[in-house]
Amino acid sequence: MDRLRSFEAEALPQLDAVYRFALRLTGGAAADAEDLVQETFLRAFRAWDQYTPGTSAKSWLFTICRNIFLRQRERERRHDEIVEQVAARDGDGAPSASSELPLFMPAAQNDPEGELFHNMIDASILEAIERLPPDFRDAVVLSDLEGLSYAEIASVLGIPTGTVKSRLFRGRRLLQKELYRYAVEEGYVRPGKP
Amino acid sequence: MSEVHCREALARIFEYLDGELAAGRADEIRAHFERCQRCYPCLRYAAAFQEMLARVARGQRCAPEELRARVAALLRAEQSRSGQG
Repeated sequence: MDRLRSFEAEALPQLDAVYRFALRLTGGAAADAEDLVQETFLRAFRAWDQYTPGTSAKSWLFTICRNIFLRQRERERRHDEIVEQVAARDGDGAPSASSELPLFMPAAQNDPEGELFHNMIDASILEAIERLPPDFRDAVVLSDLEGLSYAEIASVLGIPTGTVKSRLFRGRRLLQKELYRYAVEEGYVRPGKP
Repeated sequence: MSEVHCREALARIFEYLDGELAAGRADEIRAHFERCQRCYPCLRYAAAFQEMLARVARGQRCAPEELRARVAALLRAEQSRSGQG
């Protein structure tokens, strides 16, 4: 089997997704994201024998991309004192899902059919997603925008599946709250009774 | 089939919609939502929210064509380099 041809068939179709993922990692810096994409595909191609055909090429590429990014950043910051950010993030004790409601209830009660979601402009939604705290944002993006499973997200982000669940749970709820606030401001929905 | 209560159904709402529950568990949760007048609207609302995100996902930006071309060239160069080595 021709290596390049199988790589082109399975990995290359994920270029758009990897680019978007890289853009988020670099905080929107397009040139850095493009470098990251090139490096990711080069490494992935060299390691193509380690990929199991038919499994998720997308999450495999995301994992490589994130590892390259993290290693680069670590190198850059080794002499700075800002390294703690990444490390501090990982041991977060997110409360268990059952102690919180999944939905932003004032919005759900006021608009049970979720009409506001039909009228919302895509750009506003993407902006609201970008404003989520990074841990929650990453989980929401990988699940809702990139379609990865919980297990795939866990492996991309290097966190347990339980943490994926709680970050998704809280991230989606936060996003609903934010979109509701926006919809009220823009007059899509009337503010609910308290 | 064991009884599922509102709290449990709501706590699993996203796992249910994401298809991340085992088949039997998903059936129990579905049965609760179909039966419970208080929970059913929550399911509808959460589903509308996720449909919105799926719509956004379909319209996401793509990589620049020029990057696509560069990656393709890079791979061909790597292929011929490793082919000779």
